[in-house]
Amino acid sequence: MGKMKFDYARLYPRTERLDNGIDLYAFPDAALDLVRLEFVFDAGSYFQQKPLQAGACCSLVGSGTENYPAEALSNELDFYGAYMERYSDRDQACLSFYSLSRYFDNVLPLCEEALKRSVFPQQEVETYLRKQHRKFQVELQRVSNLARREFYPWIFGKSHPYGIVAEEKDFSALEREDLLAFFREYYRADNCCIVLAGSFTEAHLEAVNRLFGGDDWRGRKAGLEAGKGMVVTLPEEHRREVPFPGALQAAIMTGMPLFPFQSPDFAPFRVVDYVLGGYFGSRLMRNIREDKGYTYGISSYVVPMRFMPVWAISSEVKADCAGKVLDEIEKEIEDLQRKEIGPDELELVRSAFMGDFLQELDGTFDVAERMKLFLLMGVGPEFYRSQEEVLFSITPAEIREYARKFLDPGKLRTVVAGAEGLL
Amino acid sequence: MRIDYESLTLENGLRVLVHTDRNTSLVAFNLIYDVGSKDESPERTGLAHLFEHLMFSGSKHVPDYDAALDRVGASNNAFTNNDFTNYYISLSKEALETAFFVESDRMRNLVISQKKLDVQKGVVVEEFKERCLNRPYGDTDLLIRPLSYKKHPYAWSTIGKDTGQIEAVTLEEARAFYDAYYMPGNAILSVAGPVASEEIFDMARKWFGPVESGRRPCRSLPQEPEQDAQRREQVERKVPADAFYRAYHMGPRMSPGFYVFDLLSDILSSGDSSRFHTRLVKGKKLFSSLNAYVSGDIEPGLFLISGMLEDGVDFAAAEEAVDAEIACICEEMVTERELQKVKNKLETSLVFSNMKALDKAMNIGYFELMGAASALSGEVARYRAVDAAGMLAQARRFLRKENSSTLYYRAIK
Repeated sequence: MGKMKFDYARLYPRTERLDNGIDLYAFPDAALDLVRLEFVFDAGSYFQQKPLQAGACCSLVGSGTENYPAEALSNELDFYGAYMERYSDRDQACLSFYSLSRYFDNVLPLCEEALKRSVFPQQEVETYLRKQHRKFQVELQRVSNLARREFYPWIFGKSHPYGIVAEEKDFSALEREDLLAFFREYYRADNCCIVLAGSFTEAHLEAVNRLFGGDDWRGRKAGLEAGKGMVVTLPEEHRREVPFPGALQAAIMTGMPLFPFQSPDFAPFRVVDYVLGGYFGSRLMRNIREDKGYTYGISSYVVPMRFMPVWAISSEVKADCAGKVLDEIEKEIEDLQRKEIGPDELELVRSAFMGDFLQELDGTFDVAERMKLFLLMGVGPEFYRSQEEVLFSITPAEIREYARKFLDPGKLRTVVAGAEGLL
Repeated sequence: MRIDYESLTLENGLRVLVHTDRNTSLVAFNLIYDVGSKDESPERTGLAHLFEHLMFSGSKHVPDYDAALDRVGASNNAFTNNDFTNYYISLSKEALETAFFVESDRMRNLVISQKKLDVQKGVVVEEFKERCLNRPYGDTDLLIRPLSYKKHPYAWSTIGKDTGQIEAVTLEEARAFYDAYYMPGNAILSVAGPVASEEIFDMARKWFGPVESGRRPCRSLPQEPEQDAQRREQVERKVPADAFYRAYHMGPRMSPGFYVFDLLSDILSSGDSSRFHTRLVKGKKLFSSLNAYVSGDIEPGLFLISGMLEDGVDFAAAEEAVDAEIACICEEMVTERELQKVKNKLETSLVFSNMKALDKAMNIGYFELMGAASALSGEVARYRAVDAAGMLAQARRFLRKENSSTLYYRAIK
């Protein structure tokens, strides 16, 4: 089949600028009965001074404000059937509100209250930390998490903003003041972008400007200069093991720091990654799951981090098969570096890749959801168009070349977590 | 929320439902087979789900199922639960006929071999470990079901009772299962997206029309007798904290009780302003988390409570506090505002979960399986119809000690 049609125009938002300079990206869709209002801040864990600070701050926005103590705001949002979603990762913190269009007028002032007047009451902070601490303890018994926890500090260094992982002691060290300080510094108009999607009216847009376009929550943009040109010095050893007695499966994580998103190599690299482990029919899946039955799933992927994305392969495998799986991974990589991909597989990869695009960008909310990634990557929706161009123009020889250039076994670092004696 | 559709039943019994939605870009193709883990024999639990994996083995004219769909940019997946098996494809309108081609072919012409079976057994056993056995608290469903159900096949999890039963499945058993349940009269096809019903009906006639009708075995499941005494069990596991589980029998999915208990579970545990969170997690600090939910099974299901205890809290104190909250529900009507709140929340989530073509196709098929696809549009009204007095009556009827099972999941070092 030929090149797939995709309406790239749908990816481009109507852009507005609020009176205080906040960029607002609007994706109107009158066919929906819902509105999604998202605030994106550069307020991920990269910016924190203490472990857990950024995540806790984001999770507790709105849980106690100047005018709504404790759960009162949540109760009020619930009453209008609205949802508040809090999400934070290494780089960004996002607060998304979902509301039926007919209640959006009632919900907007509640968004404002959460965004501008959160006070992080002691009891809410304590309750949150107790819950997170318990989750942390439970996660420490999962081999996939053990492998991940070992991987990042090892690659980036224990004190690097991308290398820090939470420890037991951190749960008692975080204080209410830490959250207030972080909130005051980073949850500011100057450090914010807004994404509005769904069925909203011009009056709603004006209300957003009235509530969020003022100078009452100005501040400064988070510093991004220090991270630019990040260089990672890889540790000398290539493999680490994390013993977990009695584990019925071993978790594998193997990967390496990549290169910034803006690199022209990024789009072709994604094609190589896709062939190897990026979809259900990938070489890793076909070999390790569909031919050998060693795992329920294995994939390769890019972890989006602003200054240094990581490329990794991870899987949970039969307890005594970690070694065999690592050998097969190596064979598959070598194969990509040695032989050119056949025309049949390349065509299949092109169609499947485009199919994933269509899924990713199916509805208005999905498209709006991509904005935070664009903001992180510093490239706009044209990212999809240029990815498509590369996908359809890349040759088998080039794919092999990229595999040789970037899938360097010397750069791969591997963690295996599982039962001792079987690793 | 209104979801219109047109329907047609082919001569071989296949039901076809079409929802036209010009606002979506992709077409959703959803095929339900009316067979789930409740149709398994107690010695071969997990077979329905294992078989779902085998459905991707390739068929007479489509040797590589996934590749055939990848080639046209289609995404696909499947899931199995206690009640049914659901296969779905999402693709562009231009590629739609490929979905008809591959699904009609594997409805009757599946090719499975010993090698494929052996590999998928391995994959499913690893899935079993990943989801249940090698994950803290992952085995609770394996414990609560047999505690709650003594006769009905909801007594086992969809994944199976244990890995041994999956490993024991023979090629003959797999083929017999296919012959018994995979046929047009036991399936519901629903399509949603920018399509006209007539074009879908034409494609259905063309591709599925020739498939032989067949006759599935009659389903006569043992009914669960009314529970007359409370059940208790405790287990010890290497986990970081004690956990408490409680299950009450309740009515089937389409009974009024379902809507009551779904709303009640939200009153108890949905969000920061819920009763469990404000009173037992934040207030009394007995739990680090405490949730209530409904199992959602088509036949009489369960109303469940699960919580993780704080350090230093004993089971008796935790249970007493939960019992007090349940007693409160059975003694006093919930407030009008509480009820209004959870109804509004549910409406948003229903709208949200019927936004995409795939959601709609799946839900139409699911409601058709339960009796009539038209019932989907009445969901909001059925939640709205619940009142405090009705909730009180349902709570009193079902939330009784004699109708409950309690599991203490004790942490050991």
